[in-house]
Amino acid sequence: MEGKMSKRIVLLIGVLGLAGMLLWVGPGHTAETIKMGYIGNFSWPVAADAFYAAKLAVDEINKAGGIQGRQVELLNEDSRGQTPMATAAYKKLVMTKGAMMVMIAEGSEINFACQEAGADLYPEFKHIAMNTCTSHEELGDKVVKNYKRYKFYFRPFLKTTSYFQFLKENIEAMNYLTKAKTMALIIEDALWTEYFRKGLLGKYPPFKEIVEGTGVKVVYYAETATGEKMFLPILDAIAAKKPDYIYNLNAYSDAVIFAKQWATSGAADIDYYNNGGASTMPGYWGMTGGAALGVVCTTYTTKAAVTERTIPFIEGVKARYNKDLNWVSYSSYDAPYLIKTAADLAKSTDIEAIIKSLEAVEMVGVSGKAKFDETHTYIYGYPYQTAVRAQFQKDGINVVVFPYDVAKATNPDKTFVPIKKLRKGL
Amino acid sequence: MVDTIQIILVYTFVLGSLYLLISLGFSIVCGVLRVFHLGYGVTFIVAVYAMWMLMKEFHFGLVSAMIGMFIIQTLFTLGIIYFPVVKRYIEQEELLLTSLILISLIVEESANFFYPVTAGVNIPTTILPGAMKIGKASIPIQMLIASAVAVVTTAAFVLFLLKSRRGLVIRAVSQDIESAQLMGANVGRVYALAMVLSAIPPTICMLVIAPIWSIEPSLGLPLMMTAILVAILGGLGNIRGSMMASYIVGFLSSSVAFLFNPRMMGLATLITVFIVLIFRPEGIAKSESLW
Repeated sequence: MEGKMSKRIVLLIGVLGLAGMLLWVGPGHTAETIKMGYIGNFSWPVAADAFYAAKLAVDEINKAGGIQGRQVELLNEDSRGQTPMATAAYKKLVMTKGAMMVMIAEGSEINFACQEAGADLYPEFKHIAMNTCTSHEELGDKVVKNYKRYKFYFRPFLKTTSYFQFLKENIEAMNYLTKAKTMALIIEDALWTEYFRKGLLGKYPPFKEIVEGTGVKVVYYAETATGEKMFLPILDAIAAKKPDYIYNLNAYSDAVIFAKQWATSGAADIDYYNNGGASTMPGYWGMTGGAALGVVCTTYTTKAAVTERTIPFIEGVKARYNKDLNWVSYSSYDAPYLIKTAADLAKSTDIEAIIKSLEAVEMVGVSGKAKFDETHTYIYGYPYQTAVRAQFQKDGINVVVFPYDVAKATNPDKTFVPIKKLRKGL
Repeated sequence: MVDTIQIILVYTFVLGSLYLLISLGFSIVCGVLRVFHLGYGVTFIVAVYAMWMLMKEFHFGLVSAMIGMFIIQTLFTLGIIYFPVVKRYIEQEELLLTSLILISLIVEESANFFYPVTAGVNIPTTILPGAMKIGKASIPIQMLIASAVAVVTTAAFVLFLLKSRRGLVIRAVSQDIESAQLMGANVGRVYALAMVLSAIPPTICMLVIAPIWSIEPSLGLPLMMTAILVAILGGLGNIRGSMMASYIVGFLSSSVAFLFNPRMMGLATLITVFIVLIFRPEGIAKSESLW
């Protein structure tokens, strides 16, 4: 009797345990959760910062009820900036973790590798990729050329041609602000600048020609290695040419060293625009020990309302993570919202339906209206995507100088000040 | 053309002096211990981050932070690099090199964890701001100070090695370790002293170039690569060779920058070192010892 009893108890516990396990892994816990992945080199501040932007978006979406009633789980993978590791992480997120969307906060090389890996996986593992970080034209062109294979790949960021537009705006703004007739142009020698150095066949000439097309003469031109640490010979050569301003088209090369060497060189009194890299990070002023005085650059830490989402985004990140993020972060914030908006539009979480919906969706992003073109890349140009350009002035205060209407609304009493005046403390 | 030549000569001195300061410590380790110090880059990292830590976390003033940093650097060199690793594995090259690389990575990762690049680490050691015109060249005064410091530091090291009794012992160990031992030299002590001495130039280097250099956790590797290139070109472990090599690299870099294309500065140096390696693997120095 006792033996039968204990057998029944064991059986009952077993059945209950099994049922419990089924319930635990069942719809209540896993199937209802939408997984989103984030791949980045977490030693690279751009990618490390942007993760907080993605996290904030996911938290907000979950708080507001999730996507089509399903909560979102954000998974992250550190690629350490290495292509094989990033590709392995991508496959892991899609195949093992079941991520329906993967954000790739990486440069061109890794994006190309992940794009191919994603295309191979797509027929069996339906998912969406979001390149939140890099602008190489070919990444988007592949979507047009072979839609069936690459339709899963989106880029809530600029592509090279829109980057041409963005850069032209910068040049026109600097021409206007410095009343320039001459300028010095430096372009870092990296894959992403290939089109700017050589031109984009049938679309754009080399960037140098575009600059000269705006009515300013390029009196000095140089290409620099991304690992270069010694800019003094370049700055000395620039000083000899006496241009009205310097434009440094960089992203990976050392913007801190450049600013430090510029500020102590013979070119110290020449106005300077730093395109990317560290200058878009919140700590740039501190990193340069104040040598960034007068530097004009793209920023997102200044509370300038490009859209109704910009300031809540900046304040949300600050309040929740005590962080000021660099300007690239906006795309990692937009990406989860794009999926939500597209899913809401499609009234489904089916990947094919979301892709179709993403192609039509138009929402308010952090950096302007968000809409994809035929290459699955953000459309650039106000009222669509734009960027805030600001100048570091006394005590590291960022004064918005472009777009002009945003500048007027943000700092009506302040404007661009030539570096000569700033150095004299005016 | 005369102007260009004059600018090239000025930059040869400025860049050459900087390369000398970067590579001097590496040459000392190579010359005395006969060790290819793959952990050399960490010395630069310790210099700036120890100083920043003392200033930021313990509110040290600039001078006291410098003194504290030198003490930390010495303790680190002896307590982390020399005694546990170099001394133990000096005869087992693969273990030695692996351990040195590991130490570098650990320090770099730690610096990145506590003070990532966005932390805005800044060492305020500007002595004089602005630039000075030397003929047609206009050079940051801080860079000229760094060049002068490099020359003085090297001169002090050379004098110490040539004129002092301790320097004589170091050179003796560098030339023939067995004979030096027979003559009563305490090799272990000489090695420890050489390790400490080797940390001085990179530490001074970071202090003087911090206002014009980027302070980031990964700053050690490119500086170590420069030191290696100069040391190979000069002849591993020979200070006289390193001095010549530094100014040759300085001349090459400035010539390429002002006559051809600044993009090619690094490439020109790499190709030159490669050619030297092929045709004169012992480098430009005649002697295999320290001097």
